Amino acid sequence: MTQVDLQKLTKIYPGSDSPAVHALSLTMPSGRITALLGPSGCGKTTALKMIAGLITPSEGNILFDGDSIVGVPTEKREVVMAFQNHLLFPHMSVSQNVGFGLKMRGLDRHTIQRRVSEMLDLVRLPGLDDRRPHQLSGGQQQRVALARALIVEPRVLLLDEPLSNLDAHLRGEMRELIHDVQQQFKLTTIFVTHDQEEAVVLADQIALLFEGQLHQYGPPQAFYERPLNERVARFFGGINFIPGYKRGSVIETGLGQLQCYSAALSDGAVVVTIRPENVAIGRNGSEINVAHGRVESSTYLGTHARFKVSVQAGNGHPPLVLEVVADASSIHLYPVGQTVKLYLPPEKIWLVPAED
Amino acid sequence: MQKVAPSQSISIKPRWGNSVGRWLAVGAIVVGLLLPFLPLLIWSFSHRWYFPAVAPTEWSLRAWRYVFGDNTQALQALGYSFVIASATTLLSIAIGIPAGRALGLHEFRGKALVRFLILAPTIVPPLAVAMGIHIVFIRYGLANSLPGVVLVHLIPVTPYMVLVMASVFANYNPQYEEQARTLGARPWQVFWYVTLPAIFPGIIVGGLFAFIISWSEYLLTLLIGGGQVITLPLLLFSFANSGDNAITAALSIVFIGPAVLFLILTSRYLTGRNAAIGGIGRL
Repeated sequence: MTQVDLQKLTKIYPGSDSPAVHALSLTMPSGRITALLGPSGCGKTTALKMIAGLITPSEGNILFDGDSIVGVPTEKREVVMAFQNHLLFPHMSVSQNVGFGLKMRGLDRHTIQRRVSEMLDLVRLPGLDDRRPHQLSGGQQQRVALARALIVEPRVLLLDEPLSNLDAHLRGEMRELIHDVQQQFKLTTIFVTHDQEEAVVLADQIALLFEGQLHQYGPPQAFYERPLNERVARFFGGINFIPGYKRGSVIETGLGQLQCYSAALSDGAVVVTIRPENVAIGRNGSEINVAHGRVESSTYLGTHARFKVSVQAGNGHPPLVLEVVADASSIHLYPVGQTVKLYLPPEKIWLVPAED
Repeated sequence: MQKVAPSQSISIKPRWGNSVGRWLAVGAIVVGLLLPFLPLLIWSFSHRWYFPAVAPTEWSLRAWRYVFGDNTQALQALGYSFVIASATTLLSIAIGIPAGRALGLHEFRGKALVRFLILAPTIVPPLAVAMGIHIVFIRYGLANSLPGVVLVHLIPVTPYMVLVMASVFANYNPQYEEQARTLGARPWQVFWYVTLPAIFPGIIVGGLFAFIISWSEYLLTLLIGGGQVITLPLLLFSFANSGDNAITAALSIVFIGPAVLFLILTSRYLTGRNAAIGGIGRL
């Protein structure tokens, strides 16, 4: 059980103007899974390697349970990193790979053997001891890499893109395995990913980074329900952004006046956002937050249907296009060209600051 | 990711033409590589062999008695050659690993110049360099000594060793070392358990080059050894000069022996997948 604190952690690579990681401050709770999320090149892997001790920070501090570990060499940090491409030592068998960390610590052969077979059972790979890494499938390699990391009982487990090299059905399996193992060991786990879905299904906390800077840190729901800015919302699949002007609980927009319960921002220019699945299409009864538009296109996606609806905005504004996700059967109710009524429930509307 | 080669499900019968071609190739190898040794072998046992006789008219073990007898320079020269070639090889490995790593893994300012300077000894005539080095070695007491000869042998050996190791490291993934460190391996453990096994085929290939180059070096040994350090090639040349064909032939066989032996012992590193790592391709 180790709490990891990053304090203004900064890395500037030699010859580079902008920092790869800029003043990153995060408290990653003990025994939980934290995701460092962001597009490639956002500095998330650099941050992970700084925690592992493989990259020296330019500035800032890393604390494990309050003690700085910046001066501690990698091999004494008790932090294990599992790399994206598994990196099983090709000249060693599976059991030699798994037992590597114990051998480095000078444990005797019998103890290593016993712990290795326990660990292979845990990752559900019994009986593969003598195989060579190249004889294993990608999923098996990943499990061996996980077993090799867990066997040394690290204080912190670091995972680099743990699911991205696996195909769809293996991802689910691996996700469960990581989750189970993490629960069992109550291991502080930090992983890096560029895939928001992967972060959402696996992490307790997500830290979203763009260009080395932290944009939002919180539980997964917060990124869908309460994104801090338009960029965060877009990264999590937000697509409807309507500029407006806030006065109290009413926002003037091209769609007309919208009621909204969100009080996060003060009066002034704002951007209204609503997730496509929260827009109700064709529902009668409501008087407020209603707009009429024309179905421009529709896509049938099996479990649901997706519509693009253009709404004529008043006062000479260009028409606004809203994306709506609805029940799959509604694809027949609203053919392209039909005029539909859209309802934007006030409790689902969220405001983000207007970009300059 | 490496996949196990699928076992061949369809067996193709070798066509007649193919098998003839193969035997021709084998024949050519035997004729080209092994046949030249036959005259050497015959010469080494000959006592009298004058033109136009097809075979020696008198046979003798004199040459072989000389080579393996007591009170002769042959065994001593063999010992010198072996010690010098081994020491040169080990030193060149110690130089080649870090230098090859720098050239193969890292980009740095002046890399092209460094590469050129490392290659230079293969282009510049060794005599030109050796004269200057000789003066320096005299000053430091290295001339006419075994350590001096070992050091001067590094000049022609190092380029090959460094280039082989550079190509090894160009195909090497240093992330394995990072992985080992996070698993708790100390720096020497990382080198011993992770780096060394990965670059071992390259060390063998480079070491073979180094050993053979040092083993057959004549000019530099003569200059720096100053007649005090008599290696096998020096002895061989003096007998060849004196016209003693039998002893020259016997020494030649002894001279070739270790090289062939090393080649056979290391052949599994020279062929197949490892050969690519060694930078010399498939043999």
